[in-house]
Amino acid sequence: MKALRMAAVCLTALGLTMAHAAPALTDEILIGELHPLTGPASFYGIPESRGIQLAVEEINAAGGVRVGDQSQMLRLMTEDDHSTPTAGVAALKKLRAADVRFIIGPLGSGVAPALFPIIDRDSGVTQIVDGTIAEGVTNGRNIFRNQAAVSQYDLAVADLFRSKKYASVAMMTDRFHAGFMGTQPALSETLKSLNATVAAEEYYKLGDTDFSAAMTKLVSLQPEVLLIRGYPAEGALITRQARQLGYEGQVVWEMVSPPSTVLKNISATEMEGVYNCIPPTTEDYIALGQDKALAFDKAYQAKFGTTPGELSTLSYDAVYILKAAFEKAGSTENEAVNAALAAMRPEDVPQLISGYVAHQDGRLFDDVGQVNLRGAVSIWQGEGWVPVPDLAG
Amino acid sequence: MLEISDLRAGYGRMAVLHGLDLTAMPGRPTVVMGANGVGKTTLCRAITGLIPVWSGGIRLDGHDITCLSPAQRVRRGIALVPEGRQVFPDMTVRDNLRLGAYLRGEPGPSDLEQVEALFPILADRRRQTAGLLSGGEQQMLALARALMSRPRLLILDEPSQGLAPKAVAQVAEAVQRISESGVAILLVEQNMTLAETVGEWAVVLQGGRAEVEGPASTVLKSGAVEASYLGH
Amino acid sequence: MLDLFLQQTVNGLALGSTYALVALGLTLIFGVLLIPNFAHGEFYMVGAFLTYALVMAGLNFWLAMALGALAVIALGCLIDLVAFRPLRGAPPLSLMISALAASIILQQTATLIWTSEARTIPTPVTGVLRTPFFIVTWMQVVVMASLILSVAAIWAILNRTRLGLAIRATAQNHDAALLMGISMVQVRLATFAIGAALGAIAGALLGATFPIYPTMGVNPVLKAFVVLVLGGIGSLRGAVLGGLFLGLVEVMVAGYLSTELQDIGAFTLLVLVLLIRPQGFFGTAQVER
Ligand SMILES: Nc1ncnc2c1ncn2[C@@H]1O[C@H](COP(=O)(O)OP(=O)(O)O)[C@@H](O)[C@H]1O
Ligand SMILES: [Mg+2]
Repeated sequence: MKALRMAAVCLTALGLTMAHAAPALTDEILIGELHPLTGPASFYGIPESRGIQLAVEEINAAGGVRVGDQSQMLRLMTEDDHSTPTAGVAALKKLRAADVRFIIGPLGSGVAPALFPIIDRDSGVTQIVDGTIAEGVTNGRNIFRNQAAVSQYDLAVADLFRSKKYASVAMMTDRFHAGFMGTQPALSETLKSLNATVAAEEYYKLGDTDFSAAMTKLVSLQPEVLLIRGYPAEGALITRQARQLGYEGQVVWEMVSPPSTVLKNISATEMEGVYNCIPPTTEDYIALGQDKALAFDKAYQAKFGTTPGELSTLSYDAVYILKAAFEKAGSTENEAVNAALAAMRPEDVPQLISGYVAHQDGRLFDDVGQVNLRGAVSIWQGEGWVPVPDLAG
Repeated sequence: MLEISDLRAGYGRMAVLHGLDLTAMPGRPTVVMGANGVGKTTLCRAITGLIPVWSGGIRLDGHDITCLSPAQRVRRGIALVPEGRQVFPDMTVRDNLRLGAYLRGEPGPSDLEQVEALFPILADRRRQTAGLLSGGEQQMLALARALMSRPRLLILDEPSQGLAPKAVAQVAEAVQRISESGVAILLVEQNMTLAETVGEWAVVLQGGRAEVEGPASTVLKSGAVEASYLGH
Repeated sequence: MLDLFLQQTVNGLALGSTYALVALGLTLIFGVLLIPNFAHGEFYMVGAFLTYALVMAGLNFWLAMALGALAVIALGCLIDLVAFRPLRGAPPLSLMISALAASIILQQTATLIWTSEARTIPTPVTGVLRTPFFIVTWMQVVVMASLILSVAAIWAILNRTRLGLAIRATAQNHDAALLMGISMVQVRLATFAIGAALGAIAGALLGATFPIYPTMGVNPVLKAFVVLVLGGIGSLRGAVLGGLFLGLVEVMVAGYLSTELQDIGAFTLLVLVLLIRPQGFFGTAQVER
């Protein structure tokens, strides 16, 4: 009994750290954000949440959002989805119960597919996905995404194979990553059509630590390329174990992997020459010296005392996209805002940091609500990733 | 030397002993009799400190030991041969004996010689695992192990349980010799033969109290024991 | 083909020694005190993080590991004091819940201190041993050697010291041990200290091979419980052989069947063992105490 009581106390204490809602005031626009703030994925989720906080504060400090001839302030309601589908759905219900009609998030490729069918049928809410790269979680009606889709990562992989004419490849994919798993067959077909033999398709899961069995097999097959699709901790580990077992081919990563994280798990020398195929992230924009990114970095560091995360700018962008939509629509009715989002052009939102490319018809989002944030190839040199501008060479 | 007064103890909220009085002293081996479940084992556990006492006092040589830990009671000279023998099954006979002398450090050769003289079978089985001994041999081991602490009060909880008559006779003989060496004996038994052979003083437990008490020769023949079994 | 098999065998033994190393401390605490110490994974995690922090502060790896182990010993004794000792005599479920609570609290505390970002301790020994038949990293050799050393050290403590005698007695019969005058406070302290030190050493060594993060202990502890069931609860030999066996099975399944089946293979094995030999390969049938 004593033990039960004690466990209950501890668990309740943990539960209490969750955010609480207050009812909305009419001259405010309530924006809900849904990210993992605890658990392993909080490493990505917290910097996203902070990116949103920063944008909201900036907008409010500059007088809020002009809706029609009236200014409205943004108010943020934060929910923790623990990056699990159940917690995500519960958090969404909580936001809806507080009458939140605009939602930014989630991060997890497990969470977004769980929310999709609910939001897809709910015309009273508009969602901008700022994290997951999984396919099929947008609809272009009330769900939009300003993050890349996996298929756009894959385009960069195809570019690399086309220009290097690799003859064979082995793939190691995180099988709990819905995004990468979703495009695995299509990518495999694409690479075959580029005359690369797919020697092996192996799978692992987040948190795995021993890849020796798969790597031993791989080394015996000697493919020209080892393509790793997942998260950087495992990516580093797989790269290391493959090298230790004598693999000498080209290692290609397809993952968001800031050098700071990579270097905590593998030495720079072991990374030398590894390719990565993803869209640029916060760190890249800062490294490129882009003005808005530098200003963002400065403001973020001043407010939070640490450097922003790789997805922070996407979350920041999402708030400004919503603001532009409110102002264009001249209304905060979901229907009008959705229409404004669908018609939006990149130049309508001058504050955007990420390098979105307009679709052929000039719009920011295509018919299914996806931005164009194409993957690019970079190579590890010295202490970090360096863009590979001309793949033809 | 051992004086128990108005002892109450039990498990959870259920009281088993409701105000029990009992004394034991060297030269007068005491047998405690009583029906199954009356609380004989509970009494042994309370005296050795394995369960807490609710109220009442346990005194040894005039000192109150009610609140001492089992180890402190062993140090003061109390040893128990527990019900069901409770030898350490995966250890050798020798290690079991070493544990008996745990509080005194390593036992000297003379300690071992002494108990092995008392129980010659243990000398032959020194390196054997205790779990593989027969029931009678395990009982000898439990007794020998208790002696290794050089007790002044030896409590035995139904040592005859599950033993063949021949083994019971061996136990009786051993207990008598221990008693003769000046150790106070408190023997919990249901076996009449053993009780009669060893006991000089007898106590019959009933309803959590010492119901009848007196010289063993009279008490054991008075029918009080049988009456207690029938619950009168 | 044959050298591939040899390589996979070496892979399996290397993986298995990591499982065995984690299982050792767990089986000791379970065997002696009957505590299902889920927080063992957090001993492992804290050991890894402390070693990491000390190495980053410029300390030599082995010294960092030793200091980390000392700190985790203190942590282990503290956990026993607040989470388990108040529950003496409580049913196993209460102990399990208490262990889980301790484990969650330690994970969250570690997340607050170190964040959930994954990192790896710089390897103290680098390089690879190449033989004609197989390849093995020196770090894996170190892990296997540490397993042997740990087993030898525990064996010596248990069988060659007075404290060890008391610990073994407690494991075999708790009440009888009390009657011998053995102090439970001492046995508990010693058992938790040894168990925690083993956890911390495993964490430091494996943290130099695998990424470390606050929840890194969860999986190894689940695997270690599988190992305990395989080898027999409370049996040191069982922990070692069970760990090696589990490692071999996982690698063979992943190498010759499919990587997707690696974990399923382990749990199928677990179910089979439970059906055929519930007490494990080296366990004696549990006596109800
Ligand atoms: N560990 C225990 N928990 C609860 N009740 C117990 C326990 N041990 C014994 N009892 C109960 O206490 C009473 C006395 O038991 P015990 O002292 O073993 O009797 P005896 O040794 O005279 O046969 C019985 O009713 C028994 O069921
Ligand atoms: Mg009894």
